[in-house]
Amino acid sequence: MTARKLKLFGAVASISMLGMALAGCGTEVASTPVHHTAAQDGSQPVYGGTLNLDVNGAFPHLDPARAYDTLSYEAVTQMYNGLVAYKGATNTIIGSLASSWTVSPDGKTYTFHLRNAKFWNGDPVNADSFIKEFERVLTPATQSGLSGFINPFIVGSAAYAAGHAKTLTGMTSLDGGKTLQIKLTTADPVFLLVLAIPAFSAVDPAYVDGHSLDYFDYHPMGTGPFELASYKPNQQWILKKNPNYFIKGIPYLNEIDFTNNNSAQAVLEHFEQGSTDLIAWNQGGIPSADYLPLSENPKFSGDIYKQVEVSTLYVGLNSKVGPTKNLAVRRALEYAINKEQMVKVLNGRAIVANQVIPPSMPSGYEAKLPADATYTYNPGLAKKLLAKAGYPHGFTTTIYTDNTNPDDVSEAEVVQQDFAQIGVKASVNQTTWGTFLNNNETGKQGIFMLAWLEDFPDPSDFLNTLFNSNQSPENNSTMYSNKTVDQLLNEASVMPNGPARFAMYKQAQNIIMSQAAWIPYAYPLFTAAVQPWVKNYYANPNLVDDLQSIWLTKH
Amino acid sequence: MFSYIVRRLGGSVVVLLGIALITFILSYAVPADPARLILGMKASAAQVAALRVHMGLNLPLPEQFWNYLVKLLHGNLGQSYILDLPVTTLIAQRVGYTAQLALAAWLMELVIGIPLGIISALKDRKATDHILSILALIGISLPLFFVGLELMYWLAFKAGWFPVGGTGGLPYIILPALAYGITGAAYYARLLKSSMLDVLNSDYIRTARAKGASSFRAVMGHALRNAMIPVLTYGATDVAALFGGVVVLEDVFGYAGMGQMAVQAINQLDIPLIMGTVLFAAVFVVLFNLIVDVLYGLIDPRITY
Repeated sequence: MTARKLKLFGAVASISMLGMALAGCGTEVASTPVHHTAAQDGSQPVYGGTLNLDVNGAFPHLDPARAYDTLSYEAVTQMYNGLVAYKGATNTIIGSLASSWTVSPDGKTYTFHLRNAKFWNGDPVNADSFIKEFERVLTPATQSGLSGFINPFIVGSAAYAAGHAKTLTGMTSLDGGKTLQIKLTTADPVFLLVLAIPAFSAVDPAYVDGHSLDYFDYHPMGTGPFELASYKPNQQWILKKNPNYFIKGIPYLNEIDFTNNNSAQAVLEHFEQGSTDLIAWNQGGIPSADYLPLSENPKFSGDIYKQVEVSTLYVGLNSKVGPTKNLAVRRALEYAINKEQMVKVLNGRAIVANQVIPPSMPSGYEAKLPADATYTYNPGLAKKLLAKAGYPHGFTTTIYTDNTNPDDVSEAEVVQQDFAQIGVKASVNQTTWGTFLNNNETGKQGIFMLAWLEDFPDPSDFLNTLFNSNQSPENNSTMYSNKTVDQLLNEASVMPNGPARFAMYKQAQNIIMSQAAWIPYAYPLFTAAVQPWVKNYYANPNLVDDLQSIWLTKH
Repeated sequence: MFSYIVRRLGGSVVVLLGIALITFILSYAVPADPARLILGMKASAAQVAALRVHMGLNLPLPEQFWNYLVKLLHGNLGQSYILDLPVTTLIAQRVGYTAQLALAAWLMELVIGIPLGIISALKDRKATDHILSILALIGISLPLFFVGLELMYWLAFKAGWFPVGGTGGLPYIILPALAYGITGAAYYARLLKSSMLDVLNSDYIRTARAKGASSFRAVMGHALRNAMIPVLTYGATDVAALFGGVVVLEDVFGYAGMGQMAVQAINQLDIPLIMGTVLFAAVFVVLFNLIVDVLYGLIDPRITY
């Protein structure tokens, strides 16, 4: 995912290793619904209260099939549930609406046993609730950007999406709807992670069929801990506790009030006044303009929550266009960037990056890279290497970036200055996101700056999507192409999880870094401001704020 | 008069068509793909292509424009690409708030600007006039966002007299309107001052004074009425622009009006919504200009159509 669209991010890395062990062969996995009983400081939950949040604009979509940005997720994840979910703030997959599941020995058939859960209107959840949603995601008329996660991985998905089949043959309802079976075309080690994406939540077929696509986008019907009680278009959305939520004991809050306010100044002042409780994914993290006022104010600096995102900020170097098509030139440029300076420009809301995979990814991150994949800040060496590559007087080029975030602009300027130091005269071409994306996907931008965020915690989400030559030019917009890397990536994508699979990704990353396809410069930190009376707040690194686990104390 | 109005209405339709055409061409000239923006980066090229067909984006441009016009004549402004709601619905949701803010902002400008203009004219070239001129200059020079932020900080956050930003009724409108009034009043003040000076030195005013009319009557009764004409001309365009939504104000105060929606639409290349908001604002400009021209005819008996 790119920085602009979806922020699924970065983790409490320690607990994460367990997550990968679950897609085993023929194992029966039973898990119980989670409810949290005490906050980290040992305080006990308090029931009741209303959480007040300012949201950064109106929610673009409340339909899970169409929600694919963090703002929409903030609402959708409180209202819908899927077969599986992430446990707390970890990368571990546990059952949600599925109480248990088995996987066939060949890894191609998943059988889920469903809990007795109900939608807010009392309709029961069964296999059709999921089949319906998967079909909706595949249907072009829904305009879902997420169909690529299941098409063509689920049997019959390609045919269904193309309109050649009336039903999705790979998904079947068994035992009168209490069991859901999904057949895949190949073994897929990340399938359970994909199922945790909100697009694959349960929907009520009767409700969906009885209303238009537009209506459903604004009038949700889910199983989630909070229901949309009322809303004033573009102004306010009020969610109320679902008294029949299938996980007993939560949520603690009675109500969540989302008020539309995208003025960074107003958001800051509301927090300082105490009229809002949280600045988190409802604002996409603490807005840039508000970070220093909060972090440098002794009254609020203790309220700041930080988490390394599973995301990497990078400078892309095109392998086919411009001077960077020369490997020696790319390697030279790697020594030119002052990454510490980049992090300073972000007011410390990032850590220095040295490879594609961020440390918050449960696997794939290498504590030590091989020598030929390691670069340090050394402008003198950069200049020398550039001369050896045939550019003793540097060269002229353009750095492409988008202007959505004020930080993007400052970072581009640092890169421009760093390049100037070694004789590379770069002009910065900044456009709106739409234009930037359009140009970037042609694969013709010589040097550009972008970010990549995970959709799920697996190295394939980074390495395969960005460096496999079959992903050029749209996702692999540096036009990187290496036969060995392709082979490694293709093989690893169907292997079961385990050390052998992850070793292949490490090998691939080592080659990619030694060939300087990217200059990764920072792993951003997600920051949130949490009022002292808000307890047990956390954000799942793969999703957004988990509001069902928060409680409020008197204030 | 009637035939004048009919002729003007006819002209207005031509103007609006021209605006629709220009906006349409500009929207398509931007090198970005609405289908790609809707589906996101992860969607395959095939998916994006399919959506383009579904949205009719591959039809020849003249055909797309014609389809748009046909729908327009039926009162259908199309469906927003990103929000997937009818554009008319989206505008209707926000127009009320924008209208309230527009009128309040304009009134503030008048409330501050007109008295300033009158006093400046009466005290022309005296100390009072100089001080007022400097104040007016400061008002115009201050950026709107700056005035807005300061007002919000001191009067809402610190003093607590108003809500800190947000959308709603009167309490939410006063500060943004005041900010706009402070920065815009100077135009009215200067316009009024110069036209009043013209009028105050004219023969008929001296006649009125000679006939014994008090200064106040002379000023208010005669001079002001005539001096208002240029103010009305300027005011028409000003209000019309306000109806399009003042983006800066809406941004600073987090006010969910049309300006905010227009900017978002532009960033996301939501072409139907862009066209809808631009046409909507254009209609107001055209309408208000027509109203003002008709009002001239009523105010000034010398003007006949």
